Amino acid sequence: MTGFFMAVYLFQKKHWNWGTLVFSAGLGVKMNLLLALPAVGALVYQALGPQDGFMQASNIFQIQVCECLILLKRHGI
Amino acid sequence: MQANPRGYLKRAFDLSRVFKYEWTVNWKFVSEERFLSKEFAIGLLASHAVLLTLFMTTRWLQPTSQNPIQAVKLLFQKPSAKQKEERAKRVTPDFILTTMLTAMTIGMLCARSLHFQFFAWLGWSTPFLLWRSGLNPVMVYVVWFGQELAWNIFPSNDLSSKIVVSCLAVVVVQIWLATDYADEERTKNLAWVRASQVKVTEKQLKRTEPPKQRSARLEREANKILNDPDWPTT
Repeated sequence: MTGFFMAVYLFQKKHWNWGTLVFSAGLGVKMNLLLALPAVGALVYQALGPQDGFMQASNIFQIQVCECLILLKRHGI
Repeated sequence: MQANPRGYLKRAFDLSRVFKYEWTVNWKFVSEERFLSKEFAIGLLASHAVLLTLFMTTRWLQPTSQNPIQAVKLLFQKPSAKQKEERAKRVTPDFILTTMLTAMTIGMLCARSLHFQFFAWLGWSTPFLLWRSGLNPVMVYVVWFGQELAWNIFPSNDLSSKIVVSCLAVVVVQIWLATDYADEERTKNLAWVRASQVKVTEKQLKRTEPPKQRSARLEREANKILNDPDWPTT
């Protein structure tokens, strides 16, 4: 939840990269943030244009992949 | 991920969980077998998709395009730096907050089951969204108070869950009505709200400030707010 509101604040201050990073970190903690994903997509798409916006979207996904790699390594399955 | 990729992916983003009827806060007025049925889940999912599409096409893409077809066209264009800057200006802080909180609320309205923990989100977003929607102040208090009551009833019963769902629905409808960014009447409202911020700084004044200096400072602050590029009035 902190992740969500931090991301909102960062977007408002126009730090799009940090915002998506924090949003993705929060998403790993609470799946609930998925609900806001379309809105984030619309915002980033409009603020950054199609190419950069898509880059940001793929960043979110990549961070999720990294998180699950970390988690599974830790639990040594 | 390497060891058991399917298992991890299945559990981390498990969108097909079956929820316990005992713990649901928002669908208690629906009979248990209906709550657990697949048709109910699919119906909710469909309505979520419909609401999201509605908002996306009519509200969230308004800063950069007049209609959805134009928005899709924009996908294939390569905007110049100046165009990009101009478009980015229209994504105001108010727009950002409203959009993200509305997305959360729509999701909660169409959620298969809400648990009491989710009130942590709603409790903060509902007052802001109700205020932003320009609803009559008395109604704002009524809706907010109803929501507080309904969420605080444990265990949830018929009436409380009806109130929960209706409060969420009211917020969504009001926000949809109020966020027509192409409508100038509404955006003028925002200017009024911002101009009233000047009164806040008045209260924080030291009493010993001479009146000439005070009025000059107030005028400066008002101009700063009204001419702030992040909060366009037109």
